[in-house]
Amino acid sequence: MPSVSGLSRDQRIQCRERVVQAALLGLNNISQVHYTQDARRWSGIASHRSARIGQFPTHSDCSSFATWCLWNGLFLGSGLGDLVNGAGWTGGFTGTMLTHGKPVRHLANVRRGDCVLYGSGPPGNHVTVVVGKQGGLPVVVSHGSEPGPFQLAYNYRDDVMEIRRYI
Amino acid sequence: MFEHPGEYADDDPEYDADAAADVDLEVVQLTDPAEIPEDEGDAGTADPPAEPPEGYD
Repeated sequence: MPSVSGLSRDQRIQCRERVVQAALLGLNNISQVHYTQDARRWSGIASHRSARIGQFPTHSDCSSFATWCLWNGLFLGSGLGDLVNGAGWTGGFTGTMLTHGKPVRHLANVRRGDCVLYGSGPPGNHVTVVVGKQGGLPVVVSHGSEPGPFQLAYNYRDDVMEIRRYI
Repeated sequence: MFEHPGEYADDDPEYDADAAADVDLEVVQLTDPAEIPEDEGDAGTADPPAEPPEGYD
């Protein structure tokens, strides 16, 4: 069975590294990554901002930030189409993220670059990107408000809906 | 988490080798969720930018 992305093991590892690099770049430039739900949220991808050369979006919301991180790995790193929202890398939200990729069943199997979706049911209302672990539990970068992004335990909210993989 | 009727990524043996080969970054410093504002949520629509960039499939 091929992986969700069709990438090989080594390619997946490289892809995850680029996704995490992007998320941490946003985290490290917290004051310059503003929160918005308007069309500017897609400026990171539309302006071809590459984390590999230190570029990041100046505006995003949770889903466009997560998508930008994954775009760095899947598109810039691996040349793949939009496996995250199915919108040609031009749009999306938690609802489209929930209908792409595959869910991860066991917490122990969560890998970097997986996304945690929150809410009481589809279409969800928040998403974060897994960047590592602490004590064996996933740690995420979340951009859910103007002061963010923040690095948090994956279950910092009590409405974790599911964890999905796109890589 | 919700049970899912479809396939799970981690049921795929393709991923078995990833854990051994990948590096799990051990994160030391976390933000206290009590110190951050409530998440404002997602835009709730998939609206694309007014002029989609060229070169994406």
